[in-house]
Amino acid sequence: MTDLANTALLAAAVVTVLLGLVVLYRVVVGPTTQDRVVAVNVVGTTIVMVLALLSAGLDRPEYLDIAIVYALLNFVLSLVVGRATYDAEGVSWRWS
Amino acid sequence: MTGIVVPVNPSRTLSDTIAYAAREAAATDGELHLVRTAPGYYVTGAAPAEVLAHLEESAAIAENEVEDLVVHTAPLGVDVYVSGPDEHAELLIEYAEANGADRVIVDPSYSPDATAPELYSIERVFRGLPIAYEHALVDSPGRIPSRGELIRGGLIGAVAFLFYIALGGPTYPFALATGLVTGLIAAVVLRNVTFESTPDIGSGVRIAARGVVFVPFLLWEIAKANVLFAYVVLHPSLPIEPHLDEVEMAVGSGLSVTAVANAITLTPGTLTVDADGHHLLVHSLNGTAREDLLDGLHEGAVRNLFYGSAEGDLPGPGERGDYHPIAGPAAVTDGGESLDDGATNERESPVSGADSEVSQ
Amino acid sequence: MVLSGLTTPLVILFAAIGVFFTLVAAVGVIRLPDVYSRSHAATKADTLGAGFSIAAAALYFGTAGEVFRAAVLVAFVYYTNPTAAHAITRAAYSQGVPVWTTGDEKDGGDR
Repeated sequence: MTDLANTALLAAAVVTVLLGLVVLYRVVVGPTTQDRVVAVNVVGTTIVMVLALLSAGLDRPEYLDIAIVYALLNFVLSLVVGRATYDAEGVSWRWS
Repeated sequence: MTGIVVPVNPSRTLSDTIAYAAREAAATDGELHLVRTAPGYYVTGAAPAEVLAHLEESAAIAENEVEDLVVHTAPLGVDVYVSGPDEHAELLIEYAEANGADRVIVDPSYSPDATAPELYSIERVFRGLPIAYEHALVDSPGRIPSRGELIRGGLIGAVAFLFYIALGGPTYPFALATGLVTGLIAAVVLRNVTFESTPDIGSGVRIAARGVVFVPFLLWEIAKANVLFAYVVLHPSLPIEPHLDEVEMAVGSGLSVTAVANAITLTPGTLTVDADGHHLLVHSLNGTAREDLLDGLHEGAVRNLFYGSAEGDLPGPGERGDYHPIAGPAAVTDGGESLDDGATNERESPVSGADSEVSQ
Repeated sequence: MVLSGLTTPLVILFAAIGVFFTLVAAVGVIRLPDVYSRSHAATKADTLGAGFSIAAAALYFGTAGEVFRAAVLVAFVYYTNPTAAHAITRAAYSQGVPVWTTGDEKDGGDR
């Protein structure tokens, strides 16, 4: 019975990896840096999901710890790029 | 007539600062204004009793120091939502201009909230504003932590320790020992970073209790709107109609603004692009999502969470008129003229909301 | 375990929902016209997909330690994804990346 669950989880992990590969198209095409970072962020989240699915599918609970660390790094990447490409001079949206 | 404005907030160097400012005011034949910005969402026009009492105490210090000195006290920000050091500073400048004061003397350890002055210094805020400010010449504070610091540090240390042993295993002595050290380090380093104001247990518990209602509500909204989002994205003709709006949210304090912004972002169809105080720049993917936003779906939920249902009933930003289209069809049809305004008018009136419907 | 009869279908259901919303996110990131609307896909569909996938893993294990880790992971993803999107779109807006509106060419952002 759990074999069925294991197989399903592993299949889900495989499909998720394929979807992550599809998103790589946006990383390559862009056109702006921010487009690429958004796409890399999505790929990162799919990797977190894959790690969670694999940890269950392969009965390796320690993969969950790796997933937590990966989610953290993924977040830091977005923050750093967001800050590095922020142009403080270019902001003028406050109207009232 | 000259005048000196001193923003007051409890700190160990405050009485020295007030005494210094009182002597300065006497030397220049000026008046002394002691002001305190009320945090968060006091929009009823009445300052909390604790703020008034503290202003009275501060005035007494000045009057003891210099006789016959004209001392004014005023609570600020009691009819407007205040969030972040910038908005505190804007209130201060507006007060100074209205009352003919030309100097601001700042307590070296002044901070409008419980965050470390080093983290978001008031100088950085004042630098961009048209007024002379200076630090009071007082002895630097000692190393004894204040009561607020102890509470905040203790809370951070306890949470960090519990989290550590929850991951590391509560029966493992090595995890207990290293967890203790980690919790201590976190408490010392983050005591003035984590909180905007020293948390008090009563309101913390009330907010946590209402969070039990808020989180499922948020999850349900996320799930419901995600189905709509999936429909839009998978539809062959991609039926989207993006808008970009500036919306003024009726919440104060960094935590509640963050909660609204994240609720907006997590609910499909709306995305917070930028935030300045309680002004949010929101991108919405289609008309229905924008209507939800302007009806105050997110704002109402967060107001319920932080202020309770008694305070929660307020018409949404759309009804109050606290929004301004920047891009998208609505900007062309009903905001075309002010759109040009929006592109050129940069922070012309620093304190908004004071004269808008928020102040009810 | 007594519940295992119910656990397996639930695990499969959750994993399937997770995969579906990841698909929506991937399609959204590819199809939508500008960086702002792509961020919508990245924050919502992807976050919900991650929530369901991780919930499937937590259900499969069912032990306190793993469920706690999974809950931490979900809370973390739910909190960080909107913040990351906010940081990126804020940078994009400050650099003057235009907002796509109805009437602009649909694949205008592609090239």
